[in-house]
Amino acid sequence: MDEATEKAPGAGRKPKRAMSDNLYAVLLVTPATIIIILFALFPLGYAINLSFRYADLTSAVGIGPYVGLDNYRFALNDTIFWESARRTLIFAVGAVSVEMVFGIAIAFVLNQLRWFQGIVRSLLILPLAAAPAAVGLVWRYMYHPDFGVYNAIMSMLGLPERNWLGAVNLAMPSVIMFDIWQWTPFVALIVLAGLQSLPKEPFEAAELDGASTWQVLRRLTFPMLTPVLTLVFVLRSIDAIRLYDAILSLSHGGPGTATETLTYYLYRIGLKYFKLDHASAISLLFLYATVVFTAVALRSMMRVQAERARRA
Amino acid sequence: MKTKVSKLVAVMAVLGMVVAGLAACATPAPPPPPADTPAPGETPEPTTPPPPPPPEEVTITWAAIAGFYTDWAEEVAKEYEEETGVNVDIIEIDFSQMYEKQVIEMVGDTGAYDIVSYDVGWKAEWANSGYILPLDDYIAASDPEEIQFDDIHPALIETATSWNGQVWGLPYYTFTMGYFYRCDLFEDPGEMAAFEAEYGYPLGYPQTYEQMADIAEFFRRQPGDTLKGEAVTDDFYGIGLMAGRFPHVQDEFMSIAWTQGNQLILDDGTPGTTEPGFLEGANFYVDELLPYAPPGALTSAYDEVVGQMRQGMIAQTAAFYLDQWPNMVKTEDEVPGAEICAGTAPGAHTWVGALGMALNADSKHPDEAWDFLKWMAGPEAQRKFAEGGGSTCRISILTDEEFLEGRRLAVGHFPPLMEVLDHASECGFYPNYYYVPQGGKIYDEETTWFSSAASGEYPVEEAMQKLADAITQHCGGPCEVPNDNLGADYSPVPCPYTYDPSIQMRKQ
Repeated sequence: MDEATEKAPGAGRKPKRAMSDNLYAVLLVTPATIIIILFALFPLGYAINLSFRYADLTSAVGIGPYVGLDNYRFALNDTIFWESARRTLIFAVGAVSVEMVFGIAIAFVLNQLRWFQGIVRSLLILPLAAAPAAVGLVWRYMYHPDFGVYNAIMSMLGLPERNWLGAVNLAMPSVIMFDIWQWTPFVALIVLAGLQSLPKEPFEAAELDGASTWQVLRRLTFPMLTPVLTLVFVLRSIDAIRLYDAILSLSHGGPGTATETLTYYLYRIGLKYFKLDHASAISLLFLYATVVFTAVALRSMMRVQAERARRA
Repeated sequence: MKTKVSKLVAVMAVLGMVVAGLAACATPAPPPPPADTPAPGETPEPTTPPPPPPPEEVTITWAAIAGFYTDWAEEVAKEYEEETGVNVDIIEIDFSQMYEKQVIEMVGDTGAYDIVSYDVGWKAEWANSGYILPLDDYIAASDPEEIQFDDIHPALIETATSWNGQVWGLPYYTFTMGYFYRCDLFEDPGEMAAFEAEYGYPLGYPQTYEQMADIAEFFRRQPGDTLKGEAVTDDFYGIGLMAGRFPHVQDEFMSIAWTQGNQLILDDGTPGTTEPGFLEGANFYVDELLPYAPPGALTSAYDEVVGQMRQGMIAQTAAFYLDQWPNMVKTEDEVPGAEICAGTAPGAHTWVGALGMALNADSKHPDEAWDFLKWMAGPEAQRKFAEGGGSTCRISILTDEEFLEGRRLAVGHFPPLMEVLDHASECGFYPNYYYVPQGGKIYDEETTWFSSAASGEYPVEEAMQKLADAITQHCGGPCEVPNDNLGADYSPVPCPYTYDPSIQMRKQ
């Protein structure tokens, strides 16, 4: 027999696969799935369960019988809940809108920068790298009306000194200012990355056609940046309505309840009063509102993306 | 081929992680036999019996308030460790977080702390919820000389140890409130003459809150005004107040309310915060005292008021924690010509508070924890604690002339402290709030709504109504008040009181 035509044993058979793609995929997602079930879905299910029961951990009963919708009824009739929800909204709208405007402006300026862009980018990361609880304490002393640096500056400029965190009408704007300081760089860096990834050709074509800067911004830059802007807006909004640590270190929710946001109120009823039933119901309502907001925001982004893909 | 290999590597890595995780969770394999263990079938050589295993090393964990007093207590505890071989791990917790950090461990039955520290307002709640153990049997089984229970001031026995006829803890540290003032200013002839000319009575220690308000108004100076004959360059304020949303604002509010015969919780368990007398006291705080405090008062806790005094910004503060004397008296080093004096808060019906040490019901070493607890609250350790400026609860130390002699910087507040405690026990001044099982939660509500009233977020009447609603909600109706002192002789009318400043330990 011709050696050249002799087939090796097993040749011609379908090669044996080490593992099917499906099994491979399942194996890869298993650890993450276990973690999500343990640390997200199980607590969520537990919270849903508690929200329909009596659960006051410091009472003799502890976790008691099912009480139907009583906890949701309590939450919806609780004026402090609505007040703190209103404050949360004011904070989120105030902080995120200014952060978006400043962040986009900084990103445009940075994008034009010929030198030192790397250094400036690194410096922008500093506020993000600091723990809000730690810098919150520093800011608390900077805001202090008697010893603080802000009033020293106001005094040097001949302006009236302010009770930044002590005056009811100024406390929330002061917390917003702190958040703007900390999170504007985040918006700026993401938008800068988006700007730098835009294709050059449409801009070159617009330049040849003699388009004005405003036309380029309106017709090209912003529409192309929309997915990035939507994403950063959604991320910042979700983060802003979850605000807790800055409030704790800056104002403890005070003066009175002037800066008590929904998460701080949740902390109070959940971890100071240990009323887990009320806390669970409120946090689920809060979660529902967040999910609806996110879905609406992301849906518009998806729609734009789909429209663009269809045109292409 | 490359894809297959990388897939295999990835799968192996994931499996490796899973196996490693399972291995970490699994029971460890028994250790290999020692080298001299005879092989099966071999006759073992006769050996001497092994020595008894060393006693298990015990570590007691004590949750304590963060501050200089606990730093000192840590030093004292080292002696206990050397004497007994038991390790003592002291976890320092900021006061504003103490309640929830301890309760969360006790609710979860973690046994993280063997000994917990409670404020007088939390004791009823913790005892009622079964978080802490009654100490009566432990005390009965101990040598009375070791504890010297009767040496603890009776006012503190009542407020800081007892509830519903049982003993739940031993106090180791009192933060009973009083009054601090710049006596160098109060005794300046020029200031005295000006004050008397303006108010018609001599400047001196205020016996009433109205006098304190007059003094606060009098000492408010703008830059360019004079103080003790010298021009001031910065604002000077008549009073320091802790009106921020911290657990101190209620101590100031309540001291005024109690002195005027009002209660947070009435004898029938309903809230007293909307009573006309209570509202009058709250309005007095907001209208007559706050305007003369630094703007920072609205965000201040106690440490900021100490800072204001030490920066020479304020003339007086009350009601303020007497235990802060060692910090306050440092003003004398930092403000030229200053002298700090301590007294009782006007009327002396103030917070008779202490931190008590209690045995956590989930403690893994309750007996060892009790041994340390009774030692730490006992006379020997308390004397050492007091040497470092700790505010002891023991009469034998508070009144020991020999001990006080030459220790003004550490214990200059002991004479007025004894006055407040004596007055409380003589008058049976034990507010209902101390005995309500929802005390810990009500404490936080007070913080919120008194701060709200002080800052003007809500008018005083509305803020006090919200506080009343919150109290009713926490108690589920009228609160249960197991106050043993509400007997036939009980009267809510405060005893009259006059403070004699001659008992003060003055700067030499």
